[in-house]
Amino acid sequence: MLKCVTITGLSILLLITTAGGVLAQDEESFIRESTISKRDAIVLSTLFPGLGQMTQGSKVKGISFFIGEAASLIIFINAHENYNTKQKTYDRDLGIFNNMKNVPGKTSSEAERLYKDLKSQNDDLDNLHSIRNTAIIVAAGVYAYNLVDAIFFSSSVEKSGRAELDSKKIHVSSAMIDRNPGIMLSKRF
Amino acid sequence: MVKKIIIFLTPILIIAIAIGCSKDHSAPTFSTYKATSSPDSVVATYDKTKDVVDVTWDMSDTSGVGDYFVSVSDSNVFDLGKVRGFYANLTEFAPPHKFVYNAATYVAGDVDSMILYFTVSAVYKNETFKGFIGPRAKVDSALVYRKTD
Repeated sequence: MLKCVTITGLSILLLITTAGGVLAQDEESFIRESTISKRDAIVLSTLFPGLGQMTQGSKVKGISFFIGEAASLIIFINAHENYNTKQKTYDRDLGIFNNMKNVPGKTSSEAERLYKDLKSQNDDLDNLHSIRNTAIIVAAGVYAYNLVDAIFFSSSVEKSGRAELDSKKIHVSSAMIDRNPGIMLSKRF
Repeated sequence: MVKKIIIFLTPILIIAIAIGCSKDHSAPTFSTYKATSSPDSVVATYDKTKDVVDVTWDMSDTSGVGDYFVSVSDSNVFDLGKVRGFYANLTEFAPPHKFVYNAATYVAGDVDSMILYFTVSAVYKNETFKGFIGPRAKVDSALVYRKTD
């Protein structure tokens, strides 16, 4: 049950992340002149998915990547820790179970009880293993997609600058005027 | 250059994570303990004159059997009762095996009647098992009846 919920959750997460990239096309209405080079965006995306896209102005896409990666990693770390903790208990109980034959006075019914408990523990470990692997695969997928997006699909400063030159919109950009930071509003007629 | 490094490193990273997260536990197996078997034909009979219960049983395959373990309970759901166990310490292993159980060790002197439930397990002593008590035989009951009417 837990496995199903987690896998479904991760699938939805992946879907949102992918959809975020598509929905980001509408972001052209929030035109903001890019102040970061494509190379820097790639480096930022390499550090953590979504950072490059966010700094380039694709907020929805960037946030989708960021949330997708963060959530997958949290699920992965949680499942990984649980797996390691449960495995220690399992290994200890398995050692006791395998050694029962050498302990005088240990009974068959005790061995059977422990065997059932071990089987249940083994099922839990299998579930955690699946959740952990699914989460890390989703995380790796989001990371890879983010890199592909940053490398191949994001526009460079010059290109994005040209694309954003829309005569019907006012452009907002940061500017240095006499060594003082400021905001520049521009409109093409 | 950055592109090439990233494209080269990403699959390596994914493979490394997949290997690092590989399944490192195996399912338990009960096969070793399945080699043990239970005695059969357990019969418990109360001997009023000696105030003892004679417990007899049979066992077809006695290979690896070093002793027997007789258990007694006051409940028909065996483990829910007050369970006591004794090693039979038999000197002879020719069937049918017999264990004489003194009823006074379980039933107080002022109790006139009580039903006791008995079962027997084989104790395995060989290269694989070092005194492991095998599965129980089918439980038999004996009525301890002390009244002299």
